[in-house]
Amino acid sequence: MNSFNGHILEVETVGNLSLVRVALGKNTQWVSVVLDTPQTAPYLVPGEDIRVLFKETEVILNLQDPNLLSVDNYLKGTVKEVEAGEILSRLVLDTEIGELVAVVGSKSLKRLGLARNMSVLAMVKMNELILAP
Amino acid sequence: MIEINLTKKLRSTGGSMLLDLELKIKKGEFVSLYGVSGAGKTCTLRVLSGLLTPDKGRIVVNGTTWFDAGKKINLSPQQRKIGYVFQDYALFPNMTVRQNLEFALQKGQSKSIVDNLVAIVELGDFLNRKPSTLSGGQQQRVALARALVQRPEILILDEPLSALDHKMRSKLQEYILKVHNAFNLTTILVSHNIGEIVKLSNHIYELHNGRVVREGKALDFFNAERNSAKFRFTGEVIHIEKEEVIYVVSVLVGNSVVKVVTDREEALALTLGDQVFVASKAFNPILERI
Amino acid sequence: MDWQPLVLTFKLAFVTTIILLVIAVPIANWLSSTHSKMKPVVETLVSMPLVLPPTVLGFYMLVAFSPANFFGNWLNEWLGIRLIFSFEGLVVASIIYSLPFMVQPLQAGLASISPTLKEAAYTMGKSKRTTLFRILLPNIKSSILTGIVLTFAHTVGEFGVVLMIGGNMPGKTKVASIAIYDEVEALNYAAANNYSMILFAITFAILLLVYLINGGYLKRYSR
Repeated sequence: MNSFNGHILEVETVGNLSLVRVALGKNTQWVSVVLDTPQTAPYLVPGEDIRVLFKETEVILNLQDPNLLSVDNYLKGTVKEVEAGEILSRLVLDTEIGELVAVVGSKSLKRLGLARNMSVLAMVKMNELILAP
Repeated sequence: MIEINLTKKLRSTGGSMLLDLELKIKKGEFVSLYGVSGAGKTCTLRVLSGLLTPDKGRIVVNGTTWFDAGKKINLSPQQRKIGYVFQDYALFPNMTVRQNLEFALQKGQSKSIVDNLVAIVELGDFLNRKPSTLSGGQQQRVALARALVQRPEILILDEPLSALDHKMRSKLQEYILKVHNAFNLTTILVSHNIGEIVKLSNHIYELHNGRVVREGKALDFFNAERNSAKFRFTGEVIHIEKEEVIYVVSVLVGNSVVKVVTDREEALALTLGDQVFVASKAFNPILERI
Repeated sequence: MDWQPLVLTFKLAFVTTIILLVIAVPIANWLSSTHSKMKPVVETLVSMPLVLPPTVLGFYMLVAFSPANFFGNWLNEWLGIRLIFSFEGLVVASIIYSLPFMVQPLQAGLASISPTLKEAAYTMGKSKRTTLFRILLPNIKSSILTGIVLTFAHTVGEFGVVLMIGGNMPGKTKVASIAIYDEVEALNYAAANNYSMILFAITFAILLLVYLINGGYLKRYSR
């Protein structure tokens, strides 16, 4: 599980859903959609410290323009380690918010030609981010 | 209102411990006592019911003094109106289910309460059976009904469901909630099961070394483990296996085993038998009608 | 053959057992639940007849009950009871001598019952007395039976105490075990054999019955 510390920038609530914008680093502002409101989860207020959790397997690696995808959160990183398996491969990326682990299909690894020291965008859909106070 | 303010030196196999309690339980509340074994939970129930005499302090229930060390007041268990469900159920082996229930009747009390309770916990089919011929869940229901025959205002449940399987547990939890509401009881439950505590109680006290170390409303109490993941269960790690670059951890949740993919670091930090939360956001699971 | 010693033996055993049952229940109940510092002392006293030579017990009782002493004199003067060389004396001696055979099975039985049964009854507002008679005793039936039978059999087999305190008075204190001794002394082996065989057969039958009942063999057949 990837875990990064940040703080809440804003909370937009509609019904029982909230869209939470979190600052994780200088250039990294991610959003998460949660089934909570400031009433049900009192920590959902701007300025509050929060941890953002997501699975390695939910990370998408991308070499193109991120704005062409329906994925909201992205972060630039450099491939630090590659551990290639037959089906799955594990990559460790160096990013401005720290090390991020991604597990992707080995076929995509080959197709993208990912190797050490390459620059790549790590992307995570907003519904995959778990917030923990 | 139950006001408890007392101390009692307890001797056990692990040395001595000071039970030092200050509790205020409102009428009609469903309260849980939570904590590790030997924290003093059962002793708390025993001092309240008069089975254990405190060294110092007071117990006042709805304005009546049950115990006051200074004034030398100490009502016997017989004089305290308490329904007590013991961990081992304490059913009388020499009596049938009906006789067990009728034994609890007070002088001059009408037998109609017995039939009423039999109907509520659905014991009609077992009335003439001896306890030893009943299943754990059935015995538990007899114990629950028997504790209520004398119409107590306080119901005490000492780990009542710990010996039952998952399915039986949730059924009995419903019976307990049903009688709690039907008889306007103040109920005190001792349990190790977080799910059970959250499901049943309004207020939780955590005991450690004979003291209340934390208290709170049921929903807030387990806040430390709370996050925005809505799809969450507690379970026990029963198997860890490496698959290529990832690890698959098998977790026993209730009576089914689920598998969770984890990264190396997490897998290595776990050992078999660990209690874990299995959590996912409400967005991930799919539902299919069976 | 003279049946009187046998009749006397079983009469003594019967009376002793009944009285002991009444006495032993409260003692066993107290011993099984108390945390008193007196408990080991009382337990020791109750168990003494198991290890003491019966003659020691008989000797002290003889001294104590003798009208020449204060206690015996008091009994004689105030209650008109003479305990030496009388059937009543035999009963008192047998009660003391057989005490552990009744108390110990009852105590063990009561101690084996989960304390929560008692506590459950108390929380239902039931008195200690009601709890004892309706919950505790009905659940130690096999211990009660064991106690009754051991006491009975042990009283039947008693010799030393009886001889010391009762002497050898036909029809009053001459029980079977003493009659056997008498006959052997008189080199009348046939008569001794008759008494012995009857005692042997009856005690065997009683003990067998207990083991059958407590082992659940009879229930198995009746089903």
